[in-house]
Amino acid sequence: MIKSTKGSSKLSLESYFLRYAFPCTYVIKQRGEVGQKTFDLLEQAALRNKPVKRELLEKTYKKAFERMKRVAASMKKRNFWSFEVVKEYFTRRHNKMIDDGDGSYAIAPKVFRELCKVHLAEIIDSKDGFFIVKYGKGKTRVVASHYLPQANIGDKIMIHHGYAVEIAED
Amino acid sequence: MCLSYPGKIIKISKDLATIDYTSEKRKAKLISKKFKIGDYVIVQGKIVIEKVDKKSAEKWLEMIHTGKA
Repeated sequence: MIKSTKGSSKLSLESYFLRYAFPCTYVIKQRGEVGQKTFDLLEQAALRNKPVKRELLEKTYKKAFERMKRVAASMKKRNFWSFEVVKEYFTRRHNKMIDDGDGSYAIAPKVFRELCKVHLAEIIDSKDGFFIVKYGKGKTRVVASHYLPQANIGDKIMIHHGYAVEIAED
Repeated sequence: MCLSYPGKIIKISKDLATIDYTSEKRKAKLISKKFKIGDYVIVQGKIVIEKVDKKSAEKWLEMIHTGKA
């Protein structure tokens, strides 16, 4: 955990959570649960590590927090607001919950369910604003690179939807 | 729910696509020639990242808008 520790210590916990959660905001917005102003605020918090209130995050991403509470309880932690719990949820538990058909995942078409999964990926090319990564069994994807300007070809990273989220732990 | 929202490509001009969403239009960068007008796609970080088959996209859009998802 070399680079991610360094990165995480500068990154606020709220922004770390948002880097993973932000892709869902598009659906939440289309459902009319958040307006453009809140969407912009969340986007800035995710992209620029701007401060954002935990109450707003908990209200916006209700389902994620329900799941994180379950994860925290299974880790015997009282507070789900910790890097450990957020990391455990997104990088270790999340995909299984999708496969188990938790909540809306039960009815979402497969292509959308698959995009939601968090993957360990390797950067195979780096261009202006995006990486091309390979993951799984020979799959490739394009992911926006703005969270990880320091990452290079060959680095192992975590991807979620179309975003390179963090440098992977060893 | 961390699920994404598809839009339809309605215009392509060089490497820039205009994507139609139900309530708005947005522009996004194309990094591959495999995307065509009429395709349902997922855009993130202002980049078109993936094509979604029409059936899945329409089914999913209906679910979101009828409150089933």
